[in-house]
Amino acid sequence: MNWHFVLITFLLIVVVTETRHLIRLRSLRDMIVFYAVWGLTLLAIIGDMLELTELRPLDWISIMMQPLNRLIS
Amino acid sequence: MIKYKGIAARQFFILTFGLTIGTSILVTPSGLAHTAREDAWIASLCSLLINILMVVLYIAIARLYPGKTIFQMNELVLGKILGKAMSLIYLFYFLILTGTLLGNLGFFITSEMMPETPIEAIQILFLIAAIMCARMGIIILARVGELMFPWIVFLFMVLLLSLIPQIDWNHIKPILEDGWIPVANAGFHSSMFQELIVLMVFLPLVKGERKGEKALLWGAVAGGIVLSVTVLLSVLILGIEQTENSTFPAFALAKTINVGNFFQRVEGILITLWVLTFFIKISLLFLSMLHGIKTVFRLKEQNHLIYPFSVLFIIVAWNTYINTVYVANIIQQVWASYAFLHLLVIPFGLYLIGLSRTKILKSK
Repeated sequence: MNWHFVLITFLLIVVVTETRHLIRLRSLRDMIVFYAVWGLTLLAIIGDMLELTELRPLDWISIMMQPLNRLIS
Repeated sequence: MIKYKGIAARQFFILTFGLTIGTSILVTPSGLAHTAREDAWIASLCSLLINILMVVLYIAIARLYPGKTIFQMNELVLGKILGKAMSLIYLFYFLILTGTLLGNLGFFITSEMMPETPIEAIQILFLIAAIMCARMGIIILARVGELMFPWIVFLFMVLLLSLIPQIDWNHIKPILEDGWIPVANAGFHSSMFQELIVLMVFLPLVKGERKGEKALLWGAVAGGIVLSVTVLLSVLILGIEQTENSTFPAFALAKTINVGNFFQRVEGILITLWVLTFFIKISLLFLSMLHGIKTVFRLKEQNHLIYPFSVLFIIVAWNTYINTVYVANIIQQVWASYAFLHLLVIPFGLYLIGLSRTKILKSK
């Protein structure tokens, strides 16, 4: 089963239903944050579909923590 | 209709207890046995002690800024821009934590129980429960926790009592053969997996300031005791080698239950216990992320972010829990120091700055 396809379809349904709700809410800030999170999620799915190894957050943490780990050891 | 706004101290105690046990009950014995060997149980008591110190620190911060969540405190202590940046750092931490937990859950279920079910299906199923909980809010989660708690205690007692006949006291001897250093090291490492900072988001919601603090402290203590007992039983029954080499030693422990060739194959008890506390942990993380993003961006509502976030959790889960070797490597080399920053270093810094700020304000 193509789970990426399922998730993208779900995200498309979410954007339609939530946009209607956000219009009624009349808050530009809420709308911007929602589309930012939605866009980020879509990009993450596409990145995962393309099997980009750069997408692994634990690797980012590992790189960020290297100076501190060196300091401790 | 009566509208409830806060959560009771008793409910907060249960949430703390659930968060402390969470995924730790399955994996902690292995990590402790790896470093502390026969003294893993002493190391788990050290871990409990460190957790108590953490809670004391969190209570001290909460007393400086009563009624404020960790995200609001960040802004009050560090100023608007730095505070928001710090809150985003915490949100990233919570996101990775949620993804890793979800990955861990999927891996456990597919490797130990349902090998033919796709891991994605299991993760999505659990996430649906967390989504429902996130939509309903913390008060509903607190009530669900209240309903679950007697079952959690009952199942743990069944597990405990049915394992007692198999105890071999020689497995924990010699005591402290290599001294305190490996024990303290393992204890520190293990304490970094109980993310009690998450509860700083919900502490202001507890009715009665001091009661909430007590509930946080006793919840952490009770959860720590359950973990310590599990570690002790793992070492006493499985021995060091099996505890260290199992991916899920507590599950292996539950499999050994056999009372009179009649009461056996009851590992489902442990799975139920774990799933219930896992649900509490993942729901708390989800709710705290929603609350955090609402505070940082000053949103009117937060519920429209639930669905995109839940999809993001799945993607993070797929990209964090790649395989056991990768995760074990990260846990051993990186995670403890990363969590240490979020659980102790930053809160301690916040406390010192907050304390000096309030003292300066008072002297003026």
